[in-house]
Amino acid sequence: MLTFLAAAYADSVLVDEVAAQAERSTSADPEVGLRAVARLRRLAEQLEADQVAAARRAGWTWQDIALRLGVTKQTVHRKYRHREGRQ
Amino acid sequence: MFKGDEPAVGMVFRRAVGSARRLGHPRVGVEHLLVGLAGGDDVLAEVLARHGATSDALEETARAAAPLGAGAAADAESLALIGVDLDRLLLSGEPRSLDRLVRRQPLFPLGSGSARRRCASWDPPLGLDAQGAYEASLRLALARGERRHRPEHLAMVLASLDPGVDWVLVQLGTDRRGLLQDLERTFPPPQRSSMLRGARSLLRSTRQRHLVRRYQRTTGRSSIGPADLASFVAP
Repeated sequence: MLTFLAAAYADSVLVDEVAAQAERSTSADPEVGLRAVARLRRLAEQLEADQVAAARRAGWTWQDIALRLGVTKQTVHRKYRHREGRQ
Repeated sequence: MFKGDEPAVGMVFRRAVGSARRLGHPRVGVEHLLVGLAGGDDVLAEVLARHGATSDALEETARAAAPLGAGAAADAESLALIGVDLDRLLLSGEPRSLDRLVRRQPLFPLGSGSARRRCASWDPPLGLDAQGAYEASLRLALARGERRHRPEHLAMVLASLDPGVDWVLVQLGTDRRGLLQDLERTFPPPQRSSMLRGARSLLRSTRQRHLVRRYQRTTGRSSIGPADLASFVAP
């Protein structure tokens, strides 16, 4: 019973937090919001590049990496082969 | 005939690197470039000081933006508005990870790849935001029809385009618009013959768009006021 109550409480806290976050993201000025999204997209590219580099250092093949990223082997190779050896 | 950088531009970069080393920062960003601009003994330093951007005040703000720099501080504020915590996002937490180019760079101008590698080998390395500002500043000097690239061009670009500089100016309580107007009044474009003026106006808007696009591509940040640059080229 106690476990059930704790789980219900955790769920309600999570729902409140998500709602508050949604509120914050929609109530922001579109000018600021759009700039933030553009920056986030570039940061996501940066994170992807860092993760691919880490996987290559760990000996992963292009095929393995492409599978996890949901793209073809050629795409991931074309995008990141020029970074090989520059880390 | 365009003759490249004035020695004063090199001095700005030397002061910026000196400031980053003194503060023990891992990279040279736009906040250090501002310190370099304000630390000179010229009209530009007076203009900046009139708006509260003195060398000491700027170093204090640079200290607050460390270690990731003013650009990242501006990013953190804007991303927080859409519920993203930048500190958690940067998994490696390494300042240099923000200064790696992700997208392939255009072929022209030739030699830009080796120039970037040289910038990365500085001690401390020159950040992508500072590199982007320098490139844009050179393009602005060309668009104005100047014979030399001078520190005021760097100041114009930083105040018009860079979100990190905007963050610094907000911290100092400086009115960015007021600073831009003061720069425009103090450093008008050079007088040229009607033929040169005509040639310059022909591709003006294309040049400005190109300048902003390249700046955004290098830094990975949206510029804050691309329209503000227009007044520096043709008032």
